[in-house]
Amino acid sequence: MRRIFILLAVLCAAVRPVAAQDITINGLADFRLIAPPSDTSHLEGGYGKFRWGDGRGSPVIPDLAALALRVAATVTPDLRIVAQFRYDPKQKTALDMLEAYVRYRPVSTSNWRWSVRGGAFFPPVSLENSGVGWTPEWTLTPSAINSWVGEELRVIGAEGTLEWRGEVDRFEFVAAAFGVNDGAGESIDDYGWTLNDRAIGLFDHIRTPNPGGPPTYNYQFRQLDHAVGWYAGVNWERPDLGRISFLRYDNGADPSAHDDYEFGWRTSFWSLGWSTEIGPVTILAQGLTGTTSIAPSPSFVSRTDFWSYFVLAGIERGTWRFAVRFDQFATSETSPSPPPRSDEHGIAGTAAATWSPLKWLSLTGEVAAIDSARSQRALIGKAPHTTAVQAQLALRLRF
Amino acid sequence: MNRIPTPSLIAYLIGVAILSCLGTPAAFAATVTATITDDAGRPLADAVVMLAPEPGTPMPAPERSRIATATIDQTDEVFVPPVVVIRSGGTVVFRNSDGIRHHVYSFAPVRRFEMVQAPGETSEPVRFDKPGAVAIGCNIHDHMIAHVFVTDAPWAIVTDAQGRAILPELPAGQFVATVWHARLRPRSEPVTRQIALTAANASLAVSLSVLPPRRPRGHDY
Repeated sequence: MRRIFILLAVLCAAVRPVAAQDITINGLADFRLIAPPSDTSHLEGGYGKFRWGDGRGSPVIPDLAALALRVAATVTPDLRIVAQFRYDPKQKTALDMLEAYVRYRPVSTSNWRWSVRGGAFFPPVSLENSGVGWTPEWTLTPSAINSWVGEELRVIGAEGTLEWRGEVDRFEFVAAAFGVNDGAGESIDDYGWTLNDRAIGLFDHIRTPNPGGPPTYNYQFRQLDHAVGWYAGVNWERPDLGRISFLRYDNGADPSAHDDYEFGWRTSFWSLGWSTEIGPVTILAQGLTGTTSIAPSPSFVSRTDFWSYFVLAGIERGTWRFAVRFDQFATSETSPSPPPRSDEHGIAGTAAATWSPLKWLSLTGEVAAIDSARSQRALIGKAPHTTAVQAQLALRLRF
Repeated sequence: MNRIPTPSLIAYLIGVAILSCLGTPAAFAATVTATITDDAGRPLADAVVMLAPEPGTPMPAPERSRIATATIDQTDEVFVPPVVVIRSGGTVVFRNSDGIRHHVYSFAPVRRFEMVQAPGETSEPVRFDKPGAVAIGCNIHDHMIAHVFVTDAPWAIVTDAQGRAILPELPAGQFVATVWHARLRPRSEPVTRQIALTAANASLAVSLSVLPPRRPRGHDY
């Protein structure tokens, strides 16, 4: 965490000269009415797979889902600083930072262009989350893949991108080195895949399932060793095919490392995504498969394999936007721990309709259902298999 | 008292009468109304419609081209209009009506350039000598895209929101009409049609096979 403060200090120092420069601020206020499922949400220490759910079966609850700001300052035409903040009383700190980084990208009039960015930012995995506060574009709730990315992953380091821009094809080669994310992977081991639109803030922590006990937490943003994480990928884009993204990620954590708060969760995955337009329909499809492991002692090695994919179809008609998405996911644990283990499998369906009568105002209704089975539900006296439904109505104000 | 016409005046009037009977190209002024649609018959805005005389057809070019210059504004982080057409050797002026800077650039082989524009700034004319499509971007805001189409055709225009374009004051003759759109499928050539102008009004209907509108992917980081 100390490194994050150092990073923020560097960013603040860099921000100081921009007082007279271009600063663009975008905001989002997201008010919701939620009909939650009966299970206690994983964010409240349960095994519920949605963001909401208090275990008491509340019929409909109002909530402030997001109050977020995105600030972009153009220091010079080549140098940009971007930061995203979110206010949420349920966070460890009510005001938290989702990302903050500096990008340097000199203009190029050749087919090649390069850029670097440094700071804290989301890895380039999501095809969905392009809105202020890292919110998804088509639905209220992102896919299982990008719910996990938001909950556990953040790049605290540096990334370089080299683009080749042809007459038709366009390639981007991206690579990064980072640290301070050695806790990434614990949540997917603890409670598996979820559908949750609240990405974790840089100063936040996540509840772990501990039914009946005091709250316990995962600390994603810790550095427990001297190892460096990395990712590398390539994006290929052409107008008639869309965009294909391929990424290999490895947080490089030493699985034998630990401190008083966290183990080193060695997490790596492959991600393949495709986004395109077929007629008036936008298609997003992504698959991700990986593994996370800890080895606090030579005799105790726990490994959890995980995979998921989703397909989303969206269409715009005037002031209306409709989207449907199908997710499938699974985890499988190999561990000397006694059962029940972190094994699960499930499917999810999401449908959303958005009406945007004004540029700054939208109303979205969304229904999502998850049908899944997780062995560890036995720890709370419930059958592994469950079907949960979460319905939401969102009033969103943007500026 | 009436004046008797002099012999020179009589000769002049006879000459005018003969020329009127013969009819010159300059005296004929036709208007072509072009309607451009996509595969599904929907109007296609921002298509470039060009008319050129068929090869080997002598024809006077317009004395003063209507497409020698164009202006592209930047407002609310959008290039307006998104497509302009100019003659080879023509110029485009870029204006920044936003309260923030933009970094206008092109890496198209036809014309490579870049310039930073402060809020409220209007650029010097940027000259485009070679024909072809030039994609224009902003190096700060990736979602900003415009196209300058540079043509050797004497007559050209961009379709409006109804997919319509009107080309007035055309001489009679055989023409080749060419239609280009930024969303034509990769490596496909602009669509051409032959058109004969013999009457005062002519229409041109062309259906283009274009890709769906491109949605911006991700935010500008």
